[in-house]
Amino acid sequence: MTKLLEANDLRKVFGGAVRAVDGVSFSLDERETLALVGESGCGKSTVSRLILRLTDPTEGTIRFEGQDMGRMSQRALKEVRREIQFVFQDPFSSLDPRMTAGDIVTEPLAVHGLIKGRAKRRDTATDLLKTVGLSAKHVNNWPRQFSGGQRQRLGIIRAFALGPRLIVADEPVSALDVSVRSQVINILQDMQEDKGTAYLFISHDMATVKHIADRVAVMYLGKIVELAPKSSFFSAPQHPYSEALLSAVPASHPDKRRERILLQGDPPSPVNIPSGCRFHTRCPLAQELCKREEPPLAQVADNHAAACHFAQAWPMRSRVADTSASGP
Amino acid sequence: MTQQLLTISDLQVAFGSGENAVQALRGVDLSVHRGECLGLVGESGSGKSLTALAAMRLLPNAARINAGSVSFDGEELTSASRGKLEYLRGNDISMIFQEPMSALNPVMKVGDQIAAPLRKHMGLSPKAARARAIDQLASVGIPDPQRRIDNYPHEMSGGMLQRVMIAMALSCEPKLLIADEPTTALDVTIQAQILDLLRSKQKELDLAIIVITHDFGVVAEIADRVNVMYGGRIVEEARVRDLFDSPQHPYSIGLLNATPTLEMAEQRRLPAIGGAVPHISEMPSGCAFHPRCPERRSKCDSQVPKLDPVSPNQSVACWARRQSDDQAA
Amino acid sequence: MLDRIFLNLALGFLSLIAIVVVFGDFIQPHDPLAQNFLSRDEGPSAEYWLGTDDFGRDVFSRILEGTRLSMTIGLASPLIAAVIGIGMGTTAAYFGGWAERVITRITDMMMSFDPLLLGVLVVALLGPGILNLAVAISFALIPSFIRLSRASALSVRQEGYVDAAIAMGRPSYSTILRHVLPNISGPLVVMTTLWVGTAIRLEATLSFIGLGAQPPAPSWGNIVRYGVQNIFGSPLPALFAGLAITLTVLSFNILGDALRDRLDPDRAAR
Repeated sequence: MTKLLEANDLRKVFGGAVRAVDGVSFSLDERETLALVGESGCGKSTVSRLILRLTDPTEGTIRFEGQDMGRMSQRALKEVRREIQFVFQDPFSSLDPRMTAGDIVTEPLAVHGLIKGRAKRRDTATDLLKTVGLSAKHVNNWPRQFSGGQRQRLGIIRAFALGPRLIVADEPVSALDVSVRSQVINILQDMQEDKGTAYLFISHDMATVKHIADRVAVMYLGKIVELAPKSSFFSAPQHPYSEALLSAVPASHPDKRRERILLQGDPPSPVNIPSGCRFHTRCPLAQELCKREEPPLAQVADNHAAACHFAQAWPMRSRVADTSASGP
Repeated sequence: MTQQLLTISDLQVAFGSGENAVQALRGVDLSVHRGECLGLVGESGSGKSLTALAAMRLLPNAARINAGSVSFDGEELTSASRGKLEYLRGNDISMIFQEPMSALNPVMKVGDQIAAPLRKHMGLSPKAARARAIDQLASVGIPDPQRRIDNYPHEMSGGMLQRVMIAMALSCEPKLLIADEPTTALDVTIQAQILDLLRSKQKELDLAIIVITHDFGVVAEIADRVNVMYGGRIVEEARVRDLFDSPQHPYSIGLLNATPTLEMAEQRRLPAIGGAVPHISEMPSGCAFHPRCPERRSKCDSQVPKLDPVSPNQSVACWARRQSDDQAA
Repeated sequence: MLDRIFLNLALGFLSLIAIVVVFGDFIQPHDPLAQNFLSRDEGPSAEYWLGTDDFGRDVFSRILEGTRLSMTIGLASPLIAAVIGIGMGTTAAYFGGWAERVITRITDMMMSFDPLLLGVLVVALLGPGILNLAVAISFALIPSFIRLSRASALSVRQEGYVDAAIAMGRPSYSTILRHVLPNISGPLVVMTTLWVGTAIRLEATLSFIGLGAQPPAPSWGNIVRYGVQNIFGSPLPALFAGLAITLTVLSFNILGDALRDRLDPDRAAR
């Protein structure tokens, strides 16, 4: 069966030296939500821009329903763009300040010639606004007249206007007020249920990912280091970096403060990617082998892949706890 | 020596004046004890940062304190002289911000920036100040401080800069540290490091900390007590355990429920608070939360509830939590 | 308050200029080219409001006629420069790559010349005349438009809504027209206004040194030129033409400043 989206060994080098994305492969099924998590600079946002063809990969291919997007004609690419839409992080920059809400949400339809005439456009806009709890009176409002949450809803309607099969959502709620975030997450889930859209959900927030994702891919320094179904990822993460990320999530209650796996220092720069396993400079488990040899992203359990030489060798949690207890 | 280090009562701050004045703080009551960490939680426009700035008398030009008092260590700050304030800011109260990069001078070595207040407030010689700056850097966990002290801010990562800010803030051994969203701009693993650092400094120096944040996770990690702000007022005040065990204000309840956590049971939908955070120029009358409140009463839109204790360690400003309504009429 | 008064005065003066440009033929009391050797170098009178020059031509009528010519060049040149410059600047910023490098290098080269010098160069190449003058002045103003529009477009290019437009399949030219241009229009309108003043001054300067409008056609520049040559005959032509130039340039500058304040996004958003 053909996957909806297949990224194969994607690489993106900026300015000849910055290896922002350094060999990333993953696939997405119809109706699936894949979360791409990692810290700033890990390359997750660059991956989203590559998928949206906002920037061209240095190497590697992206196939949408089996078709290589890199070899498409302009016309074919325009058609595929109807199927892949996006929601951006910043609800303030993602809407043109000189367009009204009605024009913004119907823009994709107008660009693809699916809507003709002012009156028709206005009616469609009103219908679209109603689907996310806005009303007809908002049609002629300017973006600055909306709150952050409302603006993000406009962004979501715009993304769904063409009935896409895949939506790339790059940190869609992290710029919003906490009390508004859950509204927007619910809207994203309702829309998915309604339209059967797949999500590539990019986030640094593990708790939100746990709520929304079907599968999780963890990125570190331009590579996926772990890729697993949600349940097995959160119950038994196999890569020490995933484990550290999870242990760093703030507690949900003062009595549940976690035993931390403290990573040493900061992530290295993507200009100087360490030899061997790129995580070895900060890994509490690193051995000699890790400095020499880069571990492949290999299957360690059912559908659960991790790029670590010792992924199955030790029970991770106890091992890490030992190391951190004896550490400085 | 009293237990209270900082006491703010009925603090009111407005932007502009006359007809166009916008009330940003509408009577804030808050206290910080010596050596405790107070979490000040709120969303945009709640007035949490403004409260801290007002406490340090660092308000932006357009804002004015209209009423209320701020007393620090027995000293009234709303009427304090400029000289007195400058002395306090360097020696007894200090502050760190969300963006360490913009709070540091980009063309000055970090070592010189740490040494400056040491020389000014403690009268150290350049040499002694430098030695002490190195110690400070080491004490906030910066590796290789002898070399790092000669770095410029752009040569350091965000997490490291926040450590530098903390070193600077603590260099004169203040009694109170105000941390305004200290980890919001940082990655989770770095956030964890910084929170751990703040916690250990609090114990080590018997330091009082006000952590301003929108994130209950940060509060759970570090705070001893919490004040929840909404619409320029404190709506709930509690010991951190009590707040997480039994939040009282409908806003606190809503926020806690709406925040996804790793421990949360699988559920299809997140519980959400309806509506949006009001802009400070369009604050609803009465209890500012009433248009979004699921437990709204008839008087909520006209009368402001006062902060009333529901237990020895917890107070809430909500009409729905009043045992009897007679004192309000 | 004072700003308001000056702005109103400027607007009033510019409206007057507009009337002169449009209805010049009906307002001129005399034929601006008609010579009358019986009344050379006369002072102001009921017949000749601002006196006559040394050919006995009516100074008032000549200044009115000069207004039309100076204003036409003053408005047309910046507009031509704006169309070409903004087109090149936004294209460079939007597409990047070698086109941008070539355009910016050329701009840098042109910017290293003073606009006046550039104007002189172009007129010297093409020969004097009104059309060539307009071309020369446009040419001199193009680099500034390229530079400003490129800088503004570069920052708009980073905005999410431009990525959004690309990702939804909007063609490049349409993205530039629909999203980039409207969002950089503020500073460009301001600059165009300010450059109108500069273009008028450039026209006057070039005509003054004999590279502009050729006699007997009057423009403010050559009225000043011949007025200065004959300053001992009658100082009035040079004086009033000079005054017209000064007031017009000043008015456009005041208008430009006011527009800048009005269009400043920070203030507009309140």
